[in-house]
Amino acid sequence: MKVLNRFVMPTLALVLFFGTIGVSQATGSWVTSGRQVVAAGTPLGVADLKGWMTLDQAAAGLGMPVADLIGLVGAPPGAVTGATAFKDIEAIVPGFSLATFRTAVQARLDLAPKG
Amino acid sequence: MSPTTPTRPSGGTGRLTAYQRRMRAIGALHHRRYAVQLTVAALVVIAAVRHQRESSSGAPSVDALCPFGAVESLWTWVTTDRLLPKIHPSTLIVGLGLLISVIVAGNAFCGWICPFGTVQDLLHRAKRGLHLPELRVPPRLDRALRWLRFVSLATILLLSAGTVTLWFAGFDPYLTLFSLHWLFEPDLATMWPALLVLVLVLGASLLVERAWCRYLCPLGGVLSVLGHLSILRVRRSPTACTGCNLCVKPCPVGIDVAKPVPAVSTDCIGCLECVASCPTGGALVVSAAVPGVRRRTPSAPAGPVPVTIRPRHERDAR
Repeated sequence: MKVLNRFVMPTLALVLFFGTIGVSQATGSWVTSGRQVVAAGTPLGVADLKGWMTLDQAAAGLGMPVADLIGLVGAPPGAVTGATAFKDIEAIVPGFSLATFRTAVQARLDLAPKG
Repeated sequence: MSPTTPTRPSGGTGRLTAYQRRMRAIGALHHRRYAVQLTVAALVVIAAVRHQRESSSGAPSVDALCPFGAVESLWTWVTTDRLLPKIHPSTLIVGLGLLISVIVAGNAFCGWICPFGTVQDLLHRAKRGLHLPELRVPPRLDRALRWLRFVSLATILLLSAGTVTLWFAGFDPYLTLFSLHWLFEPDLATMWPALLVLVLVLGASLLVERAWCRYLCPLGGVLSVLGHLSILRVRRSPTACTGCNLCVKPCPVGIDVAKPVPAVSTDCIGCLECVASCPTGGALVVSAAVPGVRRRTPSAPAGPVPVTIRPRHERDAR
């Protein structure tokens, strides 16, 4: 009967758990962002809007025209397009915040006819 | 050998009694386990702070680091090839890592890695420091309450698959605590259900050690089932065991370690508290069934061969 150190159990647990993460990072499989998921057209709620999202992605996820979103941003005409990310709008529109924008979008969605 | 019988000096342990060696083994275990637990918890907190403060850094959210997200998203992923919102490929990787870890090394994830388990252990230490009483749950009630983990798991899986959302995220005490929304974006109007669950769970963990792990953790339910496949498990030898029951009290999840034969319940979180507390050599060991390896003795049956991992104090005494 081979006698081993009892700490083999937690050591293996640690090595295998973090090793799997390490291997996935080394091979480029470690993706911690939902960008790919959103690009695939997953339905979104206003709480799912993120700073890295573009207005086009948000419009597709929310199911509303991108022009409506641009209107809610309150930017000067032509300053914001569908390809602009929310985090970049903060530099274009003084006082813009994603939290306030979410509230405005929710109000617009609530007003929209159901079905 | 009696727990209090003095033994001859050996190795670097000097003239230590069996009791002193046992205390040393327990202390060494605590140092290692708490160091690992606190390091992992600190890494999760750092990730959460970076995610909250550096929104453009690409730092992952706590959702991306939670293995239970992989379980919640599994049905949707298999049937639609899409992930639930807030679930990312990294969540599946973390889930895969946990699966491999559990199959090889048992549920040591719960005892050594899970940050919410760490919080509950810290609460228990604080309670002991304050000399607060421990609530003893009657054995029959304890056994019945453990089924709640599976009720919780089934409810979460059904609602996640049905609503195609991360339904449990609004109540998950791990997520509530470690996402740090309560610190960086406090909004009591929307967060009160999650905060209420968190407070109740932490309160229960003050009364009963690791109450969340014992009775409600849905991931614990999954691991309890997968634990039957684990290669490494804590096992008790009925011939060596003296029935002193010293292994029962330190178990954080209230397993009656002195009873099961041959393997301790799959509710075991692999913390090794019982193994370190055992004063009798070979009575409580971590052993591995290695498939495909035969014993060298001619009379041995084919199949898995146990490889025994003994406490250091036992090996030192040889």
